Amino acid sequence: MVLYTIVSLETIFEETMMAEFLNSAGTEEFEIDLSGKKLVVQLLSSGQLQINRLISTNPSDYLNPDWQPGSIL
Amino acid sequence: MENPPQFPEKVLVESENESPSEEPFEQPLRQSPRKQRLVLQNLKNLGQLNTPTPIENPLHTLIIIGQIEGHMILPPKNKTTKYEHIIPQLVAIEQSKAIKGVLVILNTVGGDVEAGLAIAEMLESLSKATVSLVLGGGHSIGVPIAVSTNYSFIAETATMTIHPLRLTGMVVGVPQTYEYLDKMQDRVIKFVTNHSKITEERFRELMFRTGDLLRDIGTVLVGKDAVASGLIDEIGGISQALKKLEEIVELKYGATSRGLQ
Repeated sequence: MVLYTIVSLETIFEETMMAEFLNSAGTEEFEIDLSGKKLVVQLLSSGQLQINRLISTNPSDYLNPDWQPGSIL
Repeated sequence: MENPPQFPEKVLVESENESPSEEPFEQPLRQSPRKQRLVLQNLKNLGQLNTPTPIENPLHTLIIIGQIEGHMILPPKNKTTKYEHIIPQLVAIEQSKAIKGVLVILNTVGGDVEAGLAIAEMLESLSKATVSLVLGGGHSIGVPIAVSTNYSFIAETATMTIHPLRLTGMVVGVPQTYEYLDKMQDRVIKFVTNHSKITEERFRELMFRTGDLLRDIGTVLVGKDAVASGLIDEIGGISQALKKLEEIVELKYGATSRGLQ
């Protein structure tokens, strides 16, 4: 892998050493497909899924109130 | 049901659900409780049963932000654009009959060379109308992506950094490593010079210029400079970019394109 970026590699990989400590926090994100859209969601402690990010090329998807970041599925 | 309702409007809606006889309209049986709530919410808030279903938009957007992530997953702190998201999206756009143009919006610091060049090549070979807009920054591997479209825009305050490829922290000791990096660099330079008005000499000169960047060689091009060097076609924002995209769509598909006003 060759990175061509203005960000230093130290900054990019800073977290890998700390990752083990952070694993206990349980705030990991994962991707799901819903109605043909890709959503990056986070499992809340209450067992619900919260949308963190919508990945779509259709601009009108971003206007849909159901897909707003922060809303609960 | 055991869960306490989280939002006040849900409390209202659920209290209405308890008396189904008072429901103002019939619910088809297959609707999920969530769908029913949404329908009721729409009725309450907007005075209509359902918001109109969005028609297929002829212009789609591709947002490329943060690090461009390639074969290696970067630590979660990095905001990334993954090529496994972008490439299938571009295939779907190419196959779709309804989609006529793509607006690529860039605010990236660079990233994986292979992934960046893959996205740039995909955009370049796309048969649909394409326009790119650099907002904030389009650095390093963002440069080939920005020039890969039919027409490119840069915001007046946006910057593009052009610098040599390198392996930070690794000593380039053996000639093979140097030659490998040189080849990777040539791929980037060839792509950029083939798809923009900048000459190879000028691009190399910007890449290896000293004195512009602290502790590094290279050049930062701000808005106007990127246009003056021939890298980007025009200074502009979202309205200019969309207008240009519609123009290219009209050239490609004729003036009667549906839904383009």
